[in-house]
Amino acid sequence: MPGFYLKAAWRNAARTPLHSTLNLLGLSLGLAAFIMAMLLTWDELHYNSFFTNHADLYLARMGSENFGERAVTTPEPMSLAPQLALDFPGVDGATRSTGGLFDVIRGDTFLAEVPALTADANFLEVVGVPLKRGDQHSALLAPDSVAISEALAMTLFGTLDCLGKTITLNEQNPVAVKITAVFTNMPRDGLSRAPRMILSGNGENSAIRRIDRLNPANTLPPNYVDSYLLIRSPDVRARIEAGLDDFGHRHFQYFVDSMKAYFILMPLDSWRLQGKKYGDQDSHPLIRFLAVNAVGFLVLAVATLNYVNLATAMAARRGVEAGVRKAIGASRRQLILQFLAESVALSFVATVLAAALVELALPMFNTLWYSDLTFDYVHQPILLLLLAGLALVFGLLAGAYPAFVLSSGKPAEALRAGRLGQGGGRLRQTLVLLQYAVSIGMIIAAGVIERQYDYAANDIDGIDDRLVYSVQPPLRDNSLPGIVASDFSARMADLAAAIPEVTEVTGLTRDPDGRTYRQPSGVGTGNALIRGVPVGALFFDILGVRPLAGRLFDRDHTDADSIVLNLTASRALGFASPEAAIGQDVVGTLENGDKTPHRFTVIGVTPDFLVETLYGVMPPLVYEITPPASYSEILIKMSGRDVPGTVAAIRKAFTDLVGHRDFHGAFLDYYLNRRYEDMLHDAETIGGFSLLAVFVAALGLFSLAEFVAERRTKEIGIRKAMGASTPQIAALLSRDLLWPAIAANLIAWPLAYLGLTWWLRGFAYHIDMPLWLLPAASLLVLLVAGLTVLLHVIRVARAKPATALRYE
Amino acid sequence: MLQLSVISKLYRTSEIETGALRDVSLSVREGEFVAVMGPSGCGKSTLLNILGLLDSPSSGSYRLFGEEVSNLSEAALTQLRRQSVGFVFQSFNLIDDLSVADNVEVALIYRGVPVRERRKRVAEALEQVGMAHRARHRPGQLSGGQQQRVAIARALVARPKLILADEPTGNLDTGNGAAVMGMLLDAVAGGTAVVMVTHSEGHAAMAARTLRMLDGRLIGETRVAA
Repeated sequence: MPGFYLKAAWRNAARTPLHSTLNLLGLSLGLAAFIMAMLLTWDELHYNSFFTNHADLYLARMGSENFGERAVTTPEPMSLAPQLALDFPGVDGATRSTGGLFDVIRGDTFLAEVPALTADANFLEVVGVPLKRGDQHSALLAPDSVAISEALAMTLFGTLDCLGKTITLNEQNPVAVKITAVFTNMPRDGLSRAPRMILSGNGENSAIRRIDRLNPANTLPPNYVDSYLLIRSPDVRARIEAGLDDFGHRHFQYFVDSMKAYFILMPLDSWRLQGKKYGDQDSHPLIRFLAVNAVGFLVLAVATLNYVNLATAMAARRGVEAGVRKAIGASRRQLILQFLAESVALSFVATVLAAALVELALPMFNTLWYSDLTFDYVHQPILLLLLAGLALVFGLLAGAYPAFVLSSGKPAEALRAGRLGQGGGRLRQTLVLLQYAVSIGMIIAAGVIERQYDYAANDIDGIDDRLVYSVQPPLRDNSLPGIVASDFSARMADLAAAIPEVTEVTGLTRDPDGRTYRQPSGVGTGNALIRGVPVGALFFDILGVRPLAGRLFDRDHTDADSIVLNLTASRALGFASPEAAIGQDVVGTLENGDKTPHRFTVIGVTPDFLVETLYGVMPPLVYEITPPASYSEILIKMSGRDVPGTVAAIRKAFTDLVGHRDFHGAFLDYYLNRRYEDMLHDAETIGGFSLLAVFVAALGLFSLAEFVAERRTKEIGIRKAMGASTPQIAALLSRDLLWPAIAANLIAWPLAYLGLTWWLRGFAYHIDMPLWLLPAASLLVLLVAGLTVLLHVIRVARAKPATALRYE
Repeated sequence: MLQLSVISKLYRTSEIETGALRDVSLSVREGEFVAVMGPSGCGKSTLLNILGLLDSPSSGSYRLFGEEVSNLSEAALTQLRRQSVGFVFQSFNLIDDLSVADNVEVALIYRGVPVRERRKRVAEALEQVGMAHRARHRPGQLSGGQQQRVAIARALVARPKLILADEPTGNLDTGNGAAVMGMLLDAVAGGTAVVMVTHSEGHAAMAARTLRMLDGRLIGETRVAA
C-alpha cells in the first residue's frame, strides 16, 4: 500500500516536471537555510564543548566600575585563580594561560608562525583538553615541555607519533622545547583563539613564572591571562560567589581602591551569550545571535509558505482526481494518506537535497565568515535524526491542508472541475502575502545593517585613514628573550621616512600599561581608569584630526608633560567644556613602577574618534607623546603617487631590518574595518539570506502564477469573448497576482521599522532609520514579482480566446 | 451584414495539417436566423469562432459590416467584437467566481457602460430570461437550464447585432431547450442576427435557413419558407 501511494506521488510529480522541480528547489533552499541556521545555533551553543570539563569551568575575572557602569576588563591579576583556590577549599582545579605568537624554526629555516598558549602545568587536566598522544597530568610538568596540535604535528613531522622530538622556538635566541603531548585540533572560534601549541608555564622564563616572581604583592598591573577554575560542586560555587567581595578586599585592595575593582565567576558555558550580563563588552551580544539565527528561520518560513501554497494549488487541480478516486471506492482515510504520503516523500527528497546543498556551501561559508561550522552526521548521528524529523514534520504540515480539504469534499462536488472554492484562493493569497512581507522585511533589515556598517566603518571613526599604511613589529610575544621590538620601531620609522613617496611617519602604542588620570582638585570621577594612548608627534597630523579646543601635538610641540584629551575624557575629568580643559593640570599615575603622581598639562581636546568596540560607549582617552622606540604600530602616510611601489619599498625596508618574517602591514582603513567584521558578517549573512528568501518566494510565485493562469484560462476566454482586450486581461491577472505584494507592506513596514529602530538603539553611534529603504525594498520585491508573473500574464492574455474556450 | 468568401482554417500540428474549414463562403443578413448542422468535427465551432472574431482564418476574406476583418489588429478586433457580437455556448461558460448578476455585467463593463446604466440593463436582461430572482447566486448553484438563461441574458444585455450560439440547447432537457429557443427567436424578432450551431433538426427548423457542413465544407442549404 505505501508503495502504491509513492507511485502515485511520483506520477503526479512527473506529470508536471517544471513545477515539481521548482517546488523541490525552493523547498531544498529553504531547508538548507534552516540547516545552516541550526548549525550556527549549534556552534554558538557548543563553542566550548571541545573542552571536556566545560560544564564545570569558570572564568575568574576582575571588572572595574567606570562612570557607574560595570565592565569586565580583559586583564586580571595573575594570582587571581591560584589565590581563589587557596582561599576556598573545594575548588577542583585552578589554572591559567596566556596567549602569544611563536616562530617555529629548524636550523636556520623559519617553519611557521604559531599561535600558542603558555599555561600552568595542570592546564590540560583542569580544562580538559582531549589528547591524541601523551598524558594530561604529566605532559606540561617539565619546564621545556610543549603540547602541540594534531595539525601542527602533521605539518612539522607528518605523523602524530612525535613525542620526545624537539622543536626550536624563536630566531634571535632559540629555545629548544620537547614535545610531550599531541592534542585534538581546537575549534577556530573556541575560547582561546585555537592555539596550536601549549607551552609549559614551569619554565623559569615563561610568561607566567616571570610575572609570578615579580608580583608577590598583587599590585602589579593586570596582565593578559585567562584564569580558569574547575568547580564541580554547586555548593562550593555558591560559597565562592558569596565571598568574592571579601576576597577582593583581602588580596586585591589596591585594585579595589584605584579602580573600584570587583570580582566575578563567569560560567564558561554561558559566557558567550550572557557575557554582557557580567559586564563583558567583548562577548557576543545576544542581539547579534538572535538576528543571524532568525533570518535562517525566516527563509524556511518563506519556503514553507511556498510549499503549502503550491501543494494546495496542485491539489485544487487534483480535485477531479480526488472525486474519481472516491467514486471508485477510496475512503477518506485512504485519500488523506495518499496526499500526506506524497508531501512527506517530496519533503524527504528535498531534505536530502538540502543536506547536499549545505555540504557544498559549507566550505565557502566558513571561508567567508571565518567560522568553523561542521556538518558531520557520520560522527553526530543525532543530526540525521533531526533531519529526518524535520522532513517528516515538514511534510505532514505542508500536506495537511490539501489532504484534509480535498478528501472532505463530496465526490460529486469535487468532480466539477477545478473547484476548490474561494476559500482555497484566499488562503493562497494570504500565504503569498506573508511571503512577500517576510521578503520585504528581510531586505529592509539587510539594507539598514549594511548602512549602519558603512557608517560605523567609514564615518564615525572621524579620521582620514586613506593612504595611511600601518606596519607592526614582527614579534608580538614577550615571553621569551630576544625581543627586537624596541629597536625595530625606531629603525623601521627611519627607513620608512627615507622612502621617496612617504610624506610623514608616526606611530602609536596600542594596549599600553594603564595610567590613572584625575584632576588635582579631585573633581571628576577621579578613580576612573582612563587609558593613556602614547602617540607620535605627527599622529593627529597624519590622521587629519583637528582640535576642538587648544592645539594638538606636532613637530614643534613634543613636550612630554603635555597631554591631549578626547571629548569623552575631558567630560570624564570634569571639565565643563573643551575650552575649559585647556591649560589645566591633570594628575596621572603610572601604574607600572613609579607610583609618584605626575602633573600633566592639557594642551588640546579632540573630537571622539572611534577606536573601540561598537556596542560599547566611547572610551575616554588621554593621548601622551612617545618616542618612536615604543611604537607598537608604525603609521606611514604616502603621497599617493606610485602606491604599489611605495608599499613594496616598505616591505623591503622591513625585510632588510628583520629578514624573512611574517610581514604585518596593511592600510589603516583595513585594520579599522576589521573591528567591524562581526557587523559586516551580520549584514552579509542577513543580506544573503534575504536574497535567498526573495529567490525562493519568486520560485513559488512563478509556479503559482502558472497555476492561476491555467485555472483561469477559461474565464479569460469568456472575458475576451465578452469584449475584454489583451491589456485589460493582463491588468486583471497582474492585479490579482501582485496585490499581495502591495498589501504585504502593511505588515512588513511597521514590523521592520520597530524591529530595526530597536536594533539600532543598541549601538552607541548609529544612523537614523533610513525610511526610504521601506518603499525601496517594496519596489524591489514588486519588481521581482512583476517580472516573475510577466511571462505567464502575457502568454495567457494574448492567447486566442478560441483556444482558451476550448480548454475544459 | 457579414460575408465570408473562400475562408479556410488549417490547424497545424507537428505531423499533420488538418483542414477545419475549406473554402467556406456564406453571407448573413441583418436580423436573419441561420442554423448550422453537421456531425462532430465538421468545422461548425471553428466557423462560429471565426464569425465571432475569436479566431482568425488561415486564408480567405471576412467582411463584417462591410469592413474586411482579416487584416485588423488584435485591438481593433476586440473593439469590433464589443460593438457587435454576443456569444452563447453549449457549456454556458459562466465565470464560477462571479455571481449571476456580475456575470451578466461583465459584458457591459468591457463596453464602458456607466455603472448606473449597467445595473438597470442587467436587471432588465435577467428579467427578460426569468432569472431576476437568482441574481445573487453563483453559477454553481444553478441548474443547466438556468445557467444557459443567464448566458443568454449576458449575450442580450449588450444589444449586439449578431448572436453566435454554439449548441445552446445541447446540454439542456426538452423544456429548457424550448425556452432557450424562444429567447433566441425573440432576439431575432428584435432585429438581431443569430447564427446557431445545433444537432437538433427540430431547433434548426426554427431558423430561416439551415447550413449543412461535412469535413469543413458547406455541402448544402435548406431554406424555410417564412
